[in-house]
Amino acid sequence: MTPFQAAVVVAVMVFAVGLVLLIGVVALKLSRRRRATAHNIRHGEYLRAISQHIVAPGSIPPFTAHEAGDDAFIDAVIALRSTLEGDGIEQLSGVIDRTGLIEQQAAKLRSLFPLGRRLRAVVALAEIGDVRAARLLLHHLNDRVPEIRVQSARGLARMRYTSAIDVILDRFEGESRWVQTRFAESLALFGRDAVWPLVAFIRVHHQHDNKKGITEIIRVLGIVGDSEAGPALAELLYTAEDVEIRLAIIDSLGLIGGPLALRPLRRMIQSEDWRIRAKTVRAFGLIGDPSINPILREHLLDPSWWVRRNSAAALRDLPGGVELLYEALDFTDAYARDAAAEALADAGELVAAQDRLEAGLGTERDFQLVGYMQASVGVQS
Amino acid sequence: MIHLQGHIAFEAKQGNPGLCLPESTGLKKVSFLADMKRILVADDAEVVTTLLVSALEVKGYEVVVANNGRQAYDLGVDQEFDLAIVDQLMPGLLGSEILLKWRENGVTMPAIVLSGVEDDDLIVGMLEMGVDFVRKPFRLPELLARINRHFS
Repeated sequence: MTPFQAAVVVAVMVFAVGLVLLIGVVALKLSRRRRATAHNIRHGEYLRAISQHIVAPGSIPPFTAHEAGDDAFIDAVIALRSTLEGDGIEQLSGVIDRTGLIEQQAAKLRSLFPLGRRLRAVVALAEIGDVRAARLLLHHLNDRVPEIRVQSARGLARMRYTSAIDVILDRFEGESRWVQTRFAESLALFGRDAVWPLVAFIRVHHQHDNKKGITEIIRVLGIVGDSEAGPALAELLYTAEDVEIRLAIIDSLGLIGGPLALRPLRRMIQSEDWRIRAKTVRAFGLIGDPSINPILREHLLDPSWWVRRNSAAALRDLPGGVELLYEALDFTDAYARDAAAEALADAGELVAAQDRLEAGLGTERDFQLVGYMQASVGVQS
Repeated sequence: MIHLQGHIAFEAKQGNPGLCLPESTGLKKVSFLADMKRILVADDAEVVTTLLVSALEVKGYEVVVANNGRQAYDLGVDQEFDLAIVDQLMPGLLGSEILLKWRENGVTMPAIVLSGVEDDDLIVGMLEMGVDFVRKPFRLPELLARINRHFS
């Protein structure tokens, strides 16, 4: 065989293998698309049938265990579960009972393989949030697969199974950062029920090495927004040495709000650390108490540019704050003027001023703001 | 009718809600279905439209579905409805935008906005426009009661 013939044979073989692979990929894609289309059609049919059952019980033949094994049926149940409240959920629970859906998914979760089927089962149980699966999900908080632990925590939170809070917290410190973040999302779903266990956890663990975990829990308290957590967070704010923890507490106090949150934050504004001051003025804006306006005005002249910017943004959201921002346009400090002008523009004042000027209805303040902005653009260009 | 050895024939006409007697009889439209209320349900979530279609048809309403904001707006302008149930977050146009545009174009049908977003400004804005507001997830009997209230 000549070198040319050998090259032709190799080229033909490469072409043939490539063609076979291409056909295989196309066939696989077509098959997946067909399966997805069939799934969507069945999903729509199940939605109609279950909806009909909910609005007129007994109007259609009962669902069977065979249907509960179909992913399209499970998706339809999950979709209705997240759309309805009250009586509709009771009707849906009846469907879940009769088909043995919970038991089927529990059996799949208990099996060792395949992982995809187990994941699908735990997500279904978490989404449906039926309390009969609580013990099983509690058990799987110790599963070897992180996503199954995460979904188990989510399911327990969705069913407000409060006994799980301490179990999740027990596992918390040993988890990776990613799992901790996902656990924290679930803990927030428990709402007020989680406040005291979370406060106790912070009190016990805040001096340990795992600062990231503690900051997650502090953020959960902010998301829950219950004032009961305020005093404990304030106490920790005074004693904690780690700046990340203090920053997280300031954020959470801002979200919780109220006079109890305002008092410790007034102390924090005196901090020498600009990050603490910047977070504190932002929290003031979230709390929305105009009694804090003079402090924010003062910090438009803070040595840190971030503190000035956050102070201006906070004033933008506070009653009477816009007036102070207009006053700041006359400050001698250029950075304070810029921060105030930016906040006024964000508040929609610039567009409104331009509209009024175009309509011949401009006020002195409109000229001041538009003139300042035009001058700034001129300086920059 | 059996006793009189008679019969009744009906025919349906496209775009005309209700049933008519055949024109050959010379008789007018049968009135009991001519009063059927038409409701526009606009939501991109199949689960919501399917559920509401089932619930409203059982109650005797005629339901037309739109799956996005633009389609909902066009249907509201082109056809007559007695009530619109509009989701706030839809591709194309937001529920509140659809209502504003309808009002600008003289479409004044009563409406209920469904929303899973707890936005106080939105709720206040809708109530000021005279539009009812229902949070998702919703209680079906409550939603049906609000719909009935519009027709009572």
